[in-house]
Amino acid sequence: MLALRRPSVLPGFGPTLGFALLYLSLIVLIPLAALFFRSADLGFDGFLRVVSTPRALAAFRLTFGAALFAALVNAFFGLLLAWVLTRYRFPGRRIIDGLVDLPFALPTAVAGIALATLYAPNGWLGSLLDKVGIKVAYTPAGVFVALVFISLPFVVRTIQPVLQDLEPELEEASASLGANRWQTWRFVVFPVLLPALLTGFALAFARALGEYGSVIFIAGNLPGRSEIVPLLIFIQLEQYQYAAAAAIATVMLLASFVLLLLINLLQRWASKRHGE
Amino acid sequence: MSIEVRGVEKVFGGFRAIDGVSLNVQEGELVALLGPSGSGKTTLLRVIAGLEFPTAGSVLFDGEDAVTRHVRERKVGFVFQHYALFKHMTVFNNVAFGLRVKSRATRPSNEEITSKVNALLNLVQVEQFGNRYPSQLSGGQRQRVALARALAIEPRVLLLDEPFGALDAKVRKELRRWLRGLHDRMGLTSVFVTHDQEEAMELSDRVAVMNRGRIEQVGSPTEVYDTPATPFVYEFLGNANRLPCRIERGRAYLGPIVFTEAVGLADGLGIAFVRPHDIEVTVEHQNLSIPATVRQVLVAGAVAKLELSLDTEPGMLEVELPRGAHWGAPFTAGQKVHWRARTARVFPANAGSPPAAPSEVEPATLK
Repeated sequence: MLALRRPSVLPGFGPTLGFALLYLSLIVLIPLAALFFRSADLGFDGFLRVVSTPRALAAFRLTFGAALFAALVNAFFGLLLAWVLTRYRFPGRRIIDGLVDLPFALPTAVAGIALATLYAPNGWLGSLLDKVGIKVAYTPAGVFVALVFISLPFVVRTIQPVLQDLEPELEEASASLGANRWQTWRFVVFPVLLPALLTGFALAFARALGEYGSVIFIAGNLPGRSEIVPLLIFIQLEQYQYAAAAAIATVMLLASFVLLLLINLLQRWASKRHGE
Repeated sequence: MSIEVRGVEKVFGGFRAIDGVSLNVQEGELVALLGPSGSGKTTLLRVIAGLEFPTAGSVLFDGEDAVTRHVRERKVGFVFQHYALFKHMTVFNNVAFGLRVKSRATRPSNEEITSKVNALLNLVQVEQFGNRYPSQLSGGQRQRVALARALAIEPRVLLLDEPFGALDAKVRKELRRWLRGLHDRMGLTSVFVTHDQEEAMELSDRVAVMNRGRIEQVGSPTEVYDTPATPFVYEFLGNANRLPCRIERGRAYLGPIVFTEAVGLADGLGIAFVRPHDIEVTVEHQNLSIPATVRQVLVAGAVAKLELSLDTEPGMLEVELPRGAHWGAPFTAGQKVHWRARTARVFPANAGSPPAAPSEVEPATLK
C-alpha cells in the first residue's frame, strides 16, 4: 500500500479514488450483490431447476445468439460505414454521420414500434418479404433486426477516431514497398483498427444483450421461440417469482461477464502487438 | 538509374505547388532539393516517387516514362519524414514487409527473407533490435529502420523526405555522415529533400535550390554557394547583406562611391549582395573603401561579428571577421572605420523572385 502514498504531482488521488469507489459501489456493485443474494434463496438445486427450464434455455439461446450475431454484423458493416465516413468526401456525408447516432438518441420503444410497423406482414418491408416467405416481425429474426439497429453506433463511433488518426503515410509506405490495396488493408490498416473494432464489438454486444424496449415490440414474445431473457425476467417478476427472476439474471450477468472478459483479453493481445 | 523530370507542374486546387520544373539526376548521383517550406520540394519528390500525379509534364526513369506506372511498380525506396514505420510490426517484420508482399512467383523463400533482412539490419546498425517494436527505438534508430525497409525491395532510386528533420543536431550530423558513406558504397541514385542548407551542402553531389515551385539553380554545393544565379539563392544559402545600389555603365555605386563591378547589367537600380565574411574592415581609408561606424561588436566562438552602419546611406551591414584578425586590432562600438567588399554580386533590383514567405503548404515540415 506504500505505492498509493507515493508523493505525486497530481493532487487529490486519495479523495478522488475514494469517491470513485463509493460511487461504483452504490451504482454497480451493491445492486449486483443484491442480485446474487436474492438468487441464493433458491439453493443450488432450485437455482439449476429455474435456469434450466426449456423456456429459460430457449430465451438464453435467443438472447445470446441474436446479440452475438447482431454485434458481428455490425462489426462488419459498422467498419464499412466508418471507413466510408472518414475516408471519402461526398455530399450528405455529415447527414449520414449524424444519422449514425440516431439509435442512441431514439427512445428504444419508439424504435421498436417503428421496426414492428415496418416489418409486420402488412408493413412496407414486411409485405414484400412475406411474398418470398420470409417473416421478420414476431419471430427470432425480428429480435435480430432490432438488436442490429440499436447496436449500430458502437462500432462506427469507436473505429472512426482511429481511422481519422491513421497517417496516410503508412499506406503510402506500404504501396511504395510494392503492396497492393488488399495487402495494405490486410497487413497495415486492419491491424491498427483491430483493437478499436474489438472494443466496438464488445460494446455493441453488451448493449444488445440488455436490450429490452425495442425488442419486445417486434419479437412477438412467444415463450420458447421469440422471448428474450430480459422479458422472461420481467414476466417472473410480475408473477412475484423474485428469486427465479434473480437466478435468471445472475446467469445472464455471469455469461456477460465471461464474454466481456474474453473480449478484453483479446483486445489486450491485439494492442500488445503495437508494443505499447 | 537516371531520373529525368521534364516540365512538371502540380496544381492543388488553385495553388501551383510545382510550376514547371525540369531536373536531371545522373546514375549514382546524390541530389538535394533545397528550399524553404512551401517551395514545392516535397511535392516534387512525391511526384518522382509516384505518390502524387503531376498536372503536366513527365518523369522518366532511364529514359522510360514512369508517370503511368503506379508507385508500387516503380521500385522506388521512399523514406518518409516521420518514418511511417508500421507500429504493430517488429523491426524485423517492418523490413521484411516489402519482400513478403511480393507475388508468389517472385517472393524469396523464408530463409532468404530472414538472411536478407538480417543483412539489412546489420547494414543500418540495428541488428540487435530486430524483435523490438518501432516505439521502443530512438529517433535515429527508427530513421535507419525506415531506410532498411526502403532498401529491402532493392529500389532503383532512393528518395528521402527531410531524412534528418526530426532528429537532434548531434544525431543528425552522425547520420548524415553515415548516409553519405552508405551512398558512396552502394552507388544508388538518390534524391533527398531538405530545408537545411548545411545538410544539402555537406551531403549532396548537386543541389537544386527551389523557391515558389520553381528550381532557381542547380549545381554543385560550391557552385551554388559561390556563384548564386538569383538573389533568392544568394540569400537562402548562408547570410548575406542586401545593399540597394545604383548601376551605371557596368559599375555599381553606393552613394557616390564605386562599390563593385556590375558588368553586363543595364543602368538602373540594383541590389548588391555581400557575404559577411567577404568584407574587409580597416581603420584607414583605402582605395574604393566606404566609411562606416561600428555599432556593435559580438565575439561568438570562432568569429567576431561587427555591425556597421553606413555613413552615407541608410542601412546596416553585418561583418564576420576571423577571431584572430579581430584580436590584432580590436574594434569598438562607435569607432569610425572603412570597409570594402572582397567579392559582391549585383542583381537588377527587379530580378528574380523575393524569398517565399513560409506558408501552410507543407504542414509536414511545420510539425
